Parts: sequence; C-alpha cells; structure tokens
Amino acid sequence: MIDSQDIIKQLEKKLSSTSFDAKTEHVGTVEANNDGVITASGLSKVTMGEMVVFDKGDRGFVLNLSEDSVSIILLSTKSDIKEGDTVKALGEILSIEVDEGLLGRVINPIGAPLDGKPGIKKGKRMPLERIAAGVVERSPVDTPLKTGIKAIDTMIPIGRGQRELIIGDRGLGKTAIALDAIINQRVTTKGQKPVICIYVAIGQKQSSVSQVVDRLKQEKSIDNTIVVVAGASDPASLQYLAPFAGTSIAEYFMEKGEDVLIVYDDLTKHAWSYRQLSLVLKRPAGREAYPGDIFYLHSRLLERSVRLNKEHGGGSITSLPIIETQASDISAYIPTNVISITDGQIYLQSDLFNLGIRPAINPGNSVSRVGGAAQTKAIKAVAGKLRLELAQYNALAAFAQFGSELDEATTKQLERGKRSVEILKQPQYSPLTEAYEIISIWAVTNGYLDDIPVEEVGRFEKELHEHVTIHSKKLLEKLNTGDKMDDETLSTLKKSVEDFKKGADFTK
Amino acid sequence: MNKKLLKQLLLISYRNGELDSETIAKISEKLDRTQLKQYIRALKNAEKLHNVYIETPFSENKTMMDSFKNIFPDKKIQNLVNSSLIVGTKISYNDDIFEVSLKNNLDQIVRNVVEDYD
Repeated sequence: MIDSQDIIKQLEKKLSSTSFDAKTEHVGTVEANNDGVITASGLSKVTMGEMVVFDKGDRGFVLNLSEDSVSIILLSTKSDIKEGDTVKALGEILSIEVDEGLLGRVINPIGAPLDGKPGIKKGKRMPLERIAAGVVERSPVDTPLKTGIKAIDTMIPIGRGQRELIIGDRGLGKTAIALDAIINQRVTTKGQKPVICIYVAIGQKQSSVSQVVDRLKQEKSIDNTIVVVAGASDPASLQYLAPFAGTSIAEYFMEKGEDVLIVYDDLTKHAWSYRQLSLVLKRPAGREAYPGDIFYLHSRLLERSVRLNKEHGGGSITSLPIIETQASDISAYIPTNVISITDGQIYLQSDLFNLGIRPAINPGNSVSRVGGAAQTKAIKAVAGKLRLELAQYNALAAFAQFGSELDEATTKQLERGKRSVEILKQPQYSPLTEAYEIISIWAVTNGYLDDIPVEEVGRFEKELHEHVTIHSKKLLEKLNTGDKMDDETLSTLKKSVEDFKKGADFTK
Repeated sequence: MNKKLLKQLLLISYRNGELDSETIAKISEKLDRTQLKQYIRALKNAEKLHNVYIETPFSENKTMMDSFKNIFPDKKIQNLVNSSLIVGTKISYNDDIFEVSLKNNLDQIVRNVVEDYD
C-alpha cells in the first residue's frame, strides 16, 4: 500500500523532471475535403510524409506538396473535416511503435491493436518509409529458409534475405503456401535461428483474415507471428501503408539480429490502393491508370528485404510477396514489375490445380535465382536428380500424347515421372521437416516407388515416414542437420526404405 | 488568373499598409467566381503575412506593444485577450504559433503524468 506521502513525493519528483518548453506549432487551414484527400493552406514548412492532426483528433499524412497548399491523406474513414478547420503538423514522419510485445498480435498499419488487447506504448518508433540497407551492410543469401513444402524446398529453394514472389490466379493456393511457410517456422532447425513471421493482409475480406489468424492459432504459430491488417473496408491510405508498416516491424527485429519472414498478401491490391490514392491526388495516370512511380513503390518496399552481414547484426528479412493474376496472364503490368524486382517466383497454374496437383506449382516457370546457394548439401544432392527427371517427364509426356507405342526406357521414365509428380503433392498445413523431404525425394528418384501404383504413392510416403520415425530416429536426426549424406547415412537410408518395402504391401 | 496578375491585384489592394475596401470592392466586381476564390485566398494569405496576433491574458499595454513592434518591424500587431493562458503570451504569425504560458506548462505536467500512469 502506497501512503499519501509517497504519492506526493513521486509527483514532486515527476514535476522536477518535467521540462517546461515553450510550445511551437506549425498550423494550416483546411481548404477542401475531396474523397478523403484534404487540401490545406499554410503548413509551409511541412515535409513529405509528415504526420498531421486535425481539430477533432483525426490523423493524416502529407502526400503532395505544392506552392501554396498541401494534400493530406486521412488515416481514418471519418469525413467530418470541413473547410476552415485547423490542421497541425506533428513534426514527425509516419512511424509505428514496435517491441517484442507485438508478437502474437493483430494490428493495423499504424500500430493500433485489432485483437482487443492493449496497444504498444513504450516501444521503439520505426519509420514506415526508410532507405534500404546499402551494399556494404549486406551479405549474400546463404542460409535456407525452410517452407516445409517438398516442391519448394527441393526445386525452388528460398534463402534467408531472399524475395520470392508467389504468383497465380485466385483460388490456387498462394496464401496457403505462404501460411505453410509461416507454420513451418514454429520448428527450429538445429544450428539455425528461429524465424519471426509477419503476415501483412492488404485489402482482404475481414473473414479471410480471421480464418488466417484462427489457423495460425490452431497450428500454434501465432506466438512468433505478427499480423498487420488493412482490410477491404479500410481506407486506401491504410492499405497503401500496410506493407511498409510490416517491413518496419521486420526491420526492428532484423536490427536485433533476428531472421524475419514477411508475407505481403497481396501486392496487386496494394497497387490498386496506390492507384486510387494517386488518382484522387490528381497525379498523371499511366499504363492501366497506375501512376508513373508504381514500379518505385514496389521496388523500394522489396529492397528492404535483405540479409545483413555479421558486422551489422547478421539479421535478415525474407519476403514472400503475393501477386494475383487474371487468367494466368503473368505479362500484365504489375506482375511483370514485381517479377523483375524479386529474386524468383513460384508460379501456380490452374491446369495443375484442376488435375489435383497441389500445391499447383509449375516447376518450368518457377525459379529461385539465389536460393540454390542457400540449399543444404543433403537436399541439394537429392533435388538435382528430381528436377532433371521432372523436366524429362514433362517433355516426354507432351510427346507421349500423340503416340501409342513407346519403348521400354521411355515408358519407365514416364512412370517414374508420374510418381515424382505424385510425391510432390502435399496437403495444406502439413509442412515436412528436411529429413522427411529427403527421404521422400530420395526414394522416388532411386526407383523405390517404380513398382508402387501411382494412387498408392501418398500412402506409401506417409507409412514410410512413420516407419523411419519408429525404426531410424538417428537417421532422421542426421538428415535434419542438412549435412552432406555420407556412405553410412546413405546405406542406413537404403536399408530403412528396403525394410519398409519388405514389410508392406502396396500392390493392388 | 495568372500569378503575376494576382500579385498586382494584391499590391493595389493595400493602401498605407491597410486593406483598401473600395479598391477591393472594385476588383471583386470584375472577377468571375473562380478568380474571386483565388483572390480571396491570396488576400487571406497576404493578411497572414501582414499581421502578427499577440494573445495575452490581459488587455494591451503600450510597453508590450512597443517591444513587439521592435521584434516585428513591418507588421501590424493585433492584440487579443485570452484569459485561458493565465500568465504568458501566445504569438501567431503566418502558420507558426509560439506559446509561453502557465496554461502550456500545466498542460505539459498533466500530459507527463498521464503518460506515466497509462
């Protein structure tokens, strides 16, 4: 119990530490309010991106400076701001309060909590717009970021600090891949740092975001994840700011030496929101009515994904931007822009999806430009063969459609290809560890599935994993290290698979 | 209306440092709606640059006004009574406001205490 004397003492102490500075304010007057864009006179010393506050407490930020007026974008949906109202410059650029307390939280792009819990008050203020790390601060991508998805980890590997685009039509599983990648980070690989995840939902339905959050909770991945939401009903200004806010949060953790994975879901809607803002600001419209700086918008955002060198803490930001295409057209304006900015893309195709191949990744159009250097030796050893076999299968399968009689070698290759495609199928929310991935791929590329009916491949894989888990725990541990497979490991793996095959019956 | 013309109109709108209502009325008659809007906005901005508003908790006294005239030599000093300041002064010039008052100090104490106990 604190007595009254203590309270008075505390107040006196507080009073003595208070500085009584003269108040200086920089003000302007509202001239017009058109579609959430406020034109104000005065504010002659305001800077681009500076925050302002109106009489009734509404906040906004400056996005256009002209000779005798400024254009302000409102950060709220209220529009009761009228001509003659006073607007005050806050002297600070847009920023977000960040600390470790944000982990497991759902917030909006200006840091206001959306999950009913209290907001972050005493964190570090991180500016939303920031120049990306320079060349001297960077280090090459050399550490893998496991997604737990066989097709990605083997053929399109992602490294920490990489920017890998997920592109495809709606409903093909783009968000599912990103979510699987987040879910897989709950397990930390020995010798590697845990990964903090940030999911940025831009212009999405609140119900979709709610499903994502619920799923993350179910999978126990929410504790190392921060969800930044600017929903479809939020103003375009918030949707525009959302990926920048997510990146600022990511930078806070990266500066502390942490590895961060950030998902921008999706940048198509982000481009739409920027187009909307630009049009109401009367900026000249270019191709598809997007403003001229739409490329710069995404390039400056994605350039902030980086792997820092050890002198700068060694942290990293890996980003998975998502782009939604229309009718598989990857040559549209925004898709081509983002493809050229990123370090590779995972291309999802509707034909594959309809054939039941899920994740519907097209290995031909998908590429990882820097991820290969980040692959572990173990997975690299098995992945090379798989990629080659799949390429051969795809080429042969196209020709096989025309002819009925095929020689034995071709038939064998086609059958192997079918099983390779089958083994790459993976249900949603079930990411695999590196060991299981290696076992599956090794088994198929070494012909252990050649005599298994295609429709039994899934069951074979599941039971093989169970068998190895029970009988060869040491093998799993060894494979999970990612070290090069020596002869002993290979013979143990071979023995394990052969033992399993002996004891199981997969013939129809 | 171009900026050069607007500047000329502003120049002739003032006589002896004060707005000339007769000239302004004549100019206003000749302008269309859009031009009139531009003219009014320009006049408002010119007035902001021409006037310095001094808010004090008491009515003006000569010594105070003289000292402000020395600080802002070519400006029109306007004194406004604002008892909420308690003690001190608030100076508004163009889009800058400068305030040294007891009210501001008390506000700062309240803000600090609230921030601390939030």
